[in-house]
Amino acid sequence: MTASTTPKMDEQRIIRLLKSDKQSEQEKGFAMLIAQKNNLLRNQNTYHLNNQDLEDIFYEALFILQDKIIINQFEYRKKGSLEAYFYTIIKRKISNQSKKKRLAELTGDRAIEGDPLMSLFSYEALERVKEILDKKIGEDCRTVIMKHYYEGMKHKEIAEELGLSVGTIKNNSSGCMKKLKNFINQDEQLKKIIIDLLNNPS
Amino acid sequence: MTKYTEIIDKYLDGEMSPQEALTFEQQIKTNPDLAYEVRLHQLAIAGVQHSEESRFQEFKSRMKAIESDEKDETPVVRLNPKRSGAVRWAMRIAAVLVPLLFLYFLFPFSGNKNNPLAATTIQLVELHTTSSRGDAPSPQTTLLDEAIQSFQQKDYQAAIASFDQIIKTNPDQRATALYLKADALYRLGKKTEARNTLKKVLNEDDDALKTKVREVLDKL
Repeated sequence: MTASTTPKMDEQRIIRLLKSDKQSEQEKGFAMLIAQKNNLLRNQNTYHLNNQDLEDIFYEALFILQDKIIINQFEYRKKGSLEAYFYTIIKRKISNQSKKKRLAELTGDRAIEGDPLMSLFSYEALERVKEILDKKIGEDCRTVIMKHYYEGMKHKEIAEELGLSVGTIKNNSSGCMKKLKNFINQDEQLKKIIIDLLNNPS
Repeated sequence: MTKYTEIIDKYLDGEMSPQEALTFEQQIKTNPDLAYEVRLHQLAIAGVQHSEESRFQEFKSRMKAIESDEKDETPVVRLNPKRSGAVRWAMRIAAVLVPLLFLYFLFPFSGNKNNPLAATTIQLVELHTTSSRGDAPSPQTTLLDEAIQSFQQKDYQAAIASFDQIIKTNPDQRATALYLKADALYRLGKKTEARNTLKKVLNEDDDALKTKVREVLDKL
């Protein structure tokens, strides 16, 4: 499937609605995008995701799209560009989900549904990592990590969006990931959780 | 401890050859440092996902509600459903024909286009039907009903006999009976008699009917 085979959306109106301060207007914009769900997901399930996962990915993509529209990271250029952009976000999320599955499978873990990695750790452990992300690694590192590891953007795409060189982003991406992992490693409680997992695999 | 970050990313991004990937997978089982770092990587990425999770779950609930509202909306029933062109034309023709047929059967005498008396006859019959509706039957109303019924059944002779009786016995209905008798005579081809009978209406008290008669007399 290509983006051009889906029914055309009134893209400028959707963007205007999503940027509106009024909740009712925003909801109209979301409803117009949700109406495209089946068209956008059709033939996308190349990684054999179940329907629930696929639907979650659609909503995550919508969640990302909304942020990008509101903070003007998405620039409307021509008819069809919003649809193509949304489609790209969905593809990235599907690819990212597949990577997370592969990472879980490296240690013999397999999630039947939901996030393949989050189910491996306790809520408390995840909250501690969130705190590191929010407070310790710095805003720039957080941005690069979120774009690469949450949105599934490639280094080149991040570089284009942020107006930086691919090399800089590539270095920042791995450098920031190392920084995050170092902070996790310095947390004795988190370190113990990892060691316990290694000794007692699920 | 974070020396394997690039290698893990390379594996996950599919940038390793199948042989390299296989070797990497084997090393996890034999290299405790690598096994530890894979777990560390898992926790880091799970934490990245978790950092947006509560905001995302809230957003998802909102989207589900919007989606549900869209589905629950009562489908709009078209007042003018789409039909084929032939059906639409047939319905238009029926819309015109049905009322005409109804009027024809209700007032069969109105079919004579050249009859200058017909239009007022319809009005008189309608007026009588409307005014007598709900009234207790009286000999007079019954007689006029019978006369009109004979008229509608095109039994003009019988209708004229009934009208004559009304003219003799009921002054209140005389003007109407005279007019309708004139129309019955006209329909029987007795135009002179029709004209003479019509002139008698001018002696009655019904001014509205007299005005109509004057108009009709000019056309007879």
